[in-house]
Amino acid sequence: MSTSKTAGAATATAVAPDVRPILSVRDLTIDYLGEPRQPALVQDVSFDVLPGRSVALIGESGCGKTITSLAVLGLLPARMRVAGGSIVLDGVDVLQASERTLRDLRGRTVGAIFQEPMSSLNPTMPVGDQIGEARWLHLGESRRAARAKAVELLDRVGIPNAARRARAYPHELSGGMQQRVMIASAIACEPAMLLADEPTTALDVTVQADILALLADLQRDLGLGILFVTHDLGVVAEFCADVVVMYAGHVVERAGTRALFAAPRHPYTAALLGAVPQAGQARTVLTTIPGRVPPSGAFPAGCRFRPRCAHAVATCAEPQHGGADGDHFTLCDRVAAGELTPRRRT
Amino acid sequence: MSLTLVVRRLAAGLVVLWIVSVMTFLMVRLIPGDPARTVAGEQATPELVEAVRAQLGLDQPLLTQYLRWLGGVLQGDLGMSLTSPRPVAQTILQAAPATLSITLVALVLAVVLGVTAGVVAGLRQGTWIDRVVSTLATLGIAMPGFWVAMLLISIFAMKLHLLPATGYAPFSEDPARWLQHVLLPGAALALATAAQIARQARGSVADVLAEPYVRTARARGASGSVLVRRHVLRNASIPVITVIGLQAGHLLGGVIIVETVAGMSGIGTLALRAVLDRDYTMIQGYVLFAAVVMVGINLVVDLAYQWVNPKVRAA
Repeated sequence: MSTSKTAGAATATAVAPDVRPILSVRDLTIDYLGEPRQPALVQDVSFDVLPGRSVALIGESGCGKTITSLAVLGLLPARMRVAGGSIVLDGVDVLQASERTLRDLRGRTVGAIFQEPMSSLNPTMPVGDQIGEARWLHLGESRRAARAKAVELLDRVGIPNAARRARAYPHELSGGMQQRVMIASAIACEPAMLLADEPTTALDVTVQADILALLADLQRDLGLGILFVTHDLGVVAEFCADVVVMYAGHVVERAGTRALFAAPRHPYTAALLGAVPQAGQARTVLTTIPGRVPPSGAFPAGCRFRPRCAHAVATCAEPQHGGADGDHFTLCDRVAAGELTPRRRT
Repeated sequence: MSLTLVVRRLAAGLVVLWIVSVMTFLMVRLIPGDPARTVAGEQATPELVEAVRAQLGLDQPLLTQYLRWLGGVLQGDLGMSLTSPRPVAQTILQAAPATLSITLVALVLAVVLGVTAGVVAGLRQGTWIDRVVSTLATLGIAMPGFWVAMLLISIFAMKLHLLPATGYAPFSEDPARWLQHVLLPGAALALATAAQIARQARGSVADVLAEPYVRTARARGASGSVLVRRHVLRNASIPVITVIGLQAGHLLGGVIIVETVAGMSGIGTLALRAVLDRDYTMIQGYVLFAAVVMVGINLVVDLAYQWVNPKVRAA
């Protein structure tokens, strides 16, 4: 997997087998206590993020990707409760940590960027002040020093005329620039890890490519481990070394990007890949996945993809344990037992 | 905030005042009833009425009348009262301090109380303190100002003898006595406005807390007072300032009744008597005075709005 040549800087980093993960999520289970109640909205989610590598957390909207990433920050929304598992970030157990410890981790050990750069930036504060904030919060820098550093960071993320732009308000910048500001703010304290929740989804395609290139560049320079939450398979193929596929709160498949794209081992992943148009293959018939993700509160027992799966049988209603072939994990018991080999249909 | 912006707002305010001046001027000419006859009295002969008309300049063309009137207004001459031998401007200026004092005290009380209660409730949503603030706010909006004024006077003045029940003392003569006199009516007038401001402040704080940029700030390590001061309050203040501006107008209306209950002869009492007596020049004076105050308040609100909201600042 470390030799995968899917393109993108992420895969170029060789990984020594004894590298300690910067983030380790084990059997994370989150209950939703609102209406309608959904116990195990996120269930038994496990994955690691290694320094200098990118992990994609992929799935349709509502599959628990964002909730999982917010749990890493200790910023779960109201009425979401962690019911089990562990999250270890740079040696600190996030789920047991005090609010004070969490505050020190956020922005210092892990930086975060989000989907809508416009609404993710404070509209009444110059962007330079927002970037510098983490510097004086965590590093005890003076406001003046933090402001100077903010200009440096704006320059680093490729914003021309940085000194002037630092005094601009978010609405005075384009979407791409706003996301660059978000990135500058996230890496202000040179964190070990970056959490990127759909960072390119709201942007124009050309801008998307620029932002991805910038992230790859920063990753190489800072040795960032990146958790990349997305529903865009193209971004995954280009940017991430490893993929965690989520469906309705379950990790249904986990593998190296190349292995997963070459031979998906879960019917959902296979169907998902079949629904993506292939460049250079004109007039291929795109398959769609019938039905939709069940709403929270109505997750079926056993395999949650079962109602939409072409291969479902009676035993699929039992809790699934799946199995791994090397480090290629699938949750599907039938695939793990060798009864079924999902084919990517194109 | 640039000086040109202040100048532009000021110019807009002057335009509003000019329109008000035209409307008040026409109002007296278009209203049913003849001012000349009112001044001359019911039993006056037609000759006398015509003489009064000429004396008041009502026989001149409308434009001449307006220009003459406007010229006087610009020099602080609002004409003579039609029902008493006193200049309108002087009468209003004598009555204004009491009214403005109550209004100002009410505004300060309402903003301080309303913003504090609303922000605390918004930051502690769902707790007992939030419920207490919400209940008090509903109560405050439901209770009429004159009733609250009577209640406060009967408790603090009649029973406890802590404050005087009626009357007014000018600030310039004795600030302490001034405060004693305006505190009760000011508080009574402030209650409903404080409640409105508290509701808006609570809602705005709750809305802002749910904004993605607050999550971003948290993800950066901001928390506690840094989060509230830098990211919540400034953004939450934008709709609150709008409400304060609107409420200032309500205060100016509500003060008429409250000052009557508190036994002060202020602008409200004056305006009420002028309307009942058909004292047109006095009504004109009152409307102009109220317009100047409102335009002034709106100017301050506008500038405050632009100060907190960079998006408006650019426009």
